[in-house]
Order: sequence, then structure tokens, then C-alpha cells
Amino acid sequence: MLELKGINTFRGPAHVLQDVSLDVKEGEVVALVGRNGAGKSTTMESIMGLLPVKSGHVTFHGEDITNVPAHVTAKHGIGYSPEDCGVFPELSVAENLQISQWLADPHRTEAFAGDSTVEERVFSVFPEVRELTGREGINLSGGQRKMVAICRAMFLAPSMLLLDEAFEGLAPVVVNRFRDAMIRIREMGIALLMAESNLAHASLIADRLYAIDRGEIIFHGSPEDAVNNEDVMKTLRG
Amino acid sequence: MPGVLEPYPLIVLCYALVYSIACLSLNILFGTTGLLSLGHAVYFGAGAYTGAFLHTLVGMDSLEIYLLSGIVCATALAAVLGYFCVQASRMHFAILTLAFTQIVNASFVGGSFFRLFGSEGWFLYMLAGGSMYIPRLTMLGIEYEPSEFIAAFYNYIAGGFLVTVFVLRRIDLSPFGKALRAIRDNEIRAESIGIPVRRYRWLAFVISGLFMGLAGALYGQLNRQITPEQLGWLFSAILVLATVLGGVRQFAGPVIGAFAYAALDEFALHWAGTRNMVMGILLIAVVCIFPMGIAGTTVAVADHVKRLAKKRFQTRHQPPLQ
Repeated sequence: MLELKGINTFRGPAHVLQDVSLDVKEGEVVALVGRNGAGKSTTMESIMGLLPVKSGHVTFHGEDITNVPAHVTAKHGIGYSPEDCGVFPELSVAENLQISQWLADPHRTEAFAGDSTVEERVFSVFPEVRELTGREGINLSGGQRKMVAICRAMFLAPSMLLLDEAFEGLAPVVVNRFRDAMIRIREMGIALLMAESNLAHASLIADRLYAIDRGEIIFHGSPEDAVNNEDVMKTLRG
Repeated sequence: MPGVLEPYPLIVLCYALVYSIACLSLNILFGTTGLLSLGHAVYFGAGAYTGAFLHTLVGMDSLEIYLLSGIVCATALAAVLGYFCVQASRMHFAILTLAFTQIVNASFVGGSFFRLFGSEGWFLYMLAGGSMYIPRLTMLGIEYEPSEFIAAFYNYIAGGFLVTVFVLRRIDLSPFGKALRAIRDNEIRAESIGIPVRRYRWLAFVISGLFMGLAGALYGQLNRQITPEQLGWLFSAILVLATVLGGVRQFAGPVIGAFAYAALDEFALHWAGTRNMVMGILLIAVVCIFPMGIAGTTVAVADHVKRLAKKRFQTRHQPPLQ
């Protein structure tokens, strides 16, 4: 479904991603785990087209989307919830969601909604967002912002979601709530690529896991194998 | 209004309405999309000059054609210049708009544009130094007496104002308007949820240029004398000032700002010799009293009062402690 083949990305003069290759299959949950500054967000931004890829290829459903502008990538069906959530502070939650709904491809929206409506499908993941629709983005807590960002990405009726640090800064009770939400999203047939700095959080849901350090993929396998791999654990702990 | 107001206050009202159209059109770019343009006087000037050229060169004397030609020219100019300007953001955008203003201004003040029209154009420039006179044009083919002209022309200005308010308000409330506000808040995040940022900015620029052209054309006929000053960055700065004065985050802000600016300008007229100084002092006073613009500060104060009243109500009706 999504494939990265040997991509190299720079942030200014810094060569951040070095020959990064990974793939995500239909309906699969894949975690990209690494310390702060390892290159997780850079990978996400490279996929989205927010950072230029110097070499290598990003393909989605067999189509080359390398360096395609972010708004076109989103239209291809890749939803993105960034680390800072990117909730527009001066718009209400309803307005934040409406923009995505308005921009979504009608055919994909129809297929995504199935027998129900898009609203019902999206709010079934985070019903609490329905209560927040009248509130302005600036007045949301960190957890609420993450929920709104994920819902907003889902209103695009994506076939894949990129979640950057979805569990970061959440209280333990809320982490479980988010895990259940991810399971619900997977049940909808949406593939997930999650960037996580916490292996325990990633292991809650991921089918497969890539570990990244200093811009290079250092491990690929199941979460259990990662936990049992001393080198990986040492690197992730720093 | 013409039946209620004396001719002079009616003219002042007409100017305020024209400035309101200009400020509203500027604000779709500035307040809504977050792009500060220091070059919108170009589209205002294009709206005013186009019909004036048609009148001088081919004898066109219809107000409708004057307005339409001004709008079309300003929109076309905004479409071309806007394409280049929206490639940049924030301060770079402001600098680009300023640079284009200077180029167009130099063409008119310097006269190079007039040379394109051959000896006749150059003669016009030499004759008036870039200024142009516009006679009272016919409205729907009717030639009005000077005493009746302003009352009839007021209907065009009021109509133009209402159309501007209606269209821009519809845009403001539409998903497109919300997308523009999303771009203002965070353009990278806006792009990543599927908003084609540059295209939408360009569209906002063109819409803004269109209504600025309408304002310029109305101004041309109202003032009946247009000068290269209407193409200069200083005039752009006045439009920005009036818009900020009213408040950029409220839809009515630019209208309030335009009326306030016109009122302050009228008031400062009493001190003919030191008008600019008095105007400056008045503006400083208004900005100090209304730091978020007149509309913005009023809304903030109203919200604060509402919150206080709610708190007081809750305190009064709190059940006694057991």
C-alpha cells in the first residue's frame, strides 16, 4: 500500500533520513519507533510532501507520490495527524472538521461512509469530539487536540493515517482510550503508520515495528522481537 | 439617504462607503488569509484609471461601462500580480506587493505607461502629470443635472457596498472562507489536510482585487479627479490603517474602520494647516483606546462583561454551605 524505497531527506544542511525503506500493507498497523530526533517526524513529513525527498521513492497504491505537494497527498487518501496536532486555534472544532469534510473526495467519502454517515463513522472512534464541536481550537486540552486532529484526518475518508506521537503526553487512562480508538480505526480497514518514541505504547497495537535511529532503520520485526532485542532496547532507551 | 442628508454629508457618506468596500476587500486577504498587502492601491487605481482612459481615448460616457471596465482591469491585474505574490508568505509577501506597487506607480508617475498610447497618451501625461479628470457620466443612459447627480450616484455606491458585503460575507462563512482562515492560522498544517494553499491564496487575492477595482471605479466617479497617488503605497497604507482601526478579525471591522477613518479625517479638516498632525494624534488616541481595533475591542469588552455577569449570577445563586 505505502512503500518507501531508500529515501534521503535533508533539513537544511542536515542529512536526516538516510536510505530509509519501509512498507505498510492494507489495513495494517505499523509503528516507527525511535528517540527524539531519530527521524520519525521527518519520515512522516517526507511521505506527506512537506519536506523534499532528495532521492528514493515514496509510492502509495503503486503510484509514485514522491515530492507531491501535501494537499495532493492528502487527496490521494493519506490522512495526517502531526505531532503538534495542527488544530487551527481560531476555528471551532466543527469548522476544523468541516474543512476536511469539504475537501474530501466524494467517491471515497461515499465508500468510507458505507451504510451510515461519515460523521457517525468518525465520531464512533472518538464520541467525545461530538461534545466539543462548539469549542474553539485554542480552548482544547492536549488530549482533546489529538482527538480532533485524528477525527479531522478521518473526515478526508483516508485509506491510511499517519499519526505522529499520538500517545505522547497522555495520562495512562487516556492512553487506553486511544488504544481502543486505534483498534476501531483498524477495524474500519484504515492502515496506520504511527511514529512513537515509547515502545510500550507502540506495542499496544502495532502489527509490525520499525526502529529508527539517526535517520537509519535499525530494526524491523514484531513488537515482541523488538522488546527481546537488547541492541534495539538499548538504542531506544538512549 | 439622499432625501435625509444634505449634499455635503451625503458626499462624506459616499466616501466612507467606498473606503468600506476597499477595506472589506483588503481584509479578505489580510484579516482572513493572513496576508498583508501593501500594494492594493494598484487595483484601486486600476479601477479608477481604466474607465478614465476609455473616456479620454474613445469618448465612453457610461457609468456602467466605467465601473465594469475598472473591475475587469483590476481583477485581471490582480490575477497576474497575485500569481507571483502568493508564491511568498508573510513579510516576503508584503514586500512583493509593495514592489509591484512601486513598479506600477513608477509607470504612471514616471509616465512610461502613457508612452504606450503614443503621442496622445504622452500628451495626456504631460498635460495632467498623470492626473485625469472624469466628467459626470450617464447612469443607464440618463444624463443627470449636477444638483441631482450625487443623489443618483449614491444608489450605485450603496448597491456596490451591499453587493460587496453580501458576497464577502458569504465567502467568509463558506468552507472556502474557513480554509482561508486555516491558512492564516497555520499554512503547513492547512496544506497537510488537503488545502491547496497557493491556489486558495491566489483566489483570495483575485477576489480582493475585484472588489478593490469596484471601490476604485466608484471613487473615480465620486472624486472626478484621479491622481497617481491612488496607485501609491501610501494609499495602500491608509487602507491597511483604516482596516486595522476597525479590527481585522471581525467581518464588520473594516467597515467600522473606514467610517471611523473618514470621520476622523473630516474632524481633522478643521485644522487645515496642521491636519496631518491632528489626524496622527487622533489615530494614536483611537489605537490606544481600542488596541484590538474598534470592533475587536468592543467584542472583547462585551465578552468580558458577559463573563463577569455570569460569574456574579452564579455566586448569588450558589446554595449555602451545609
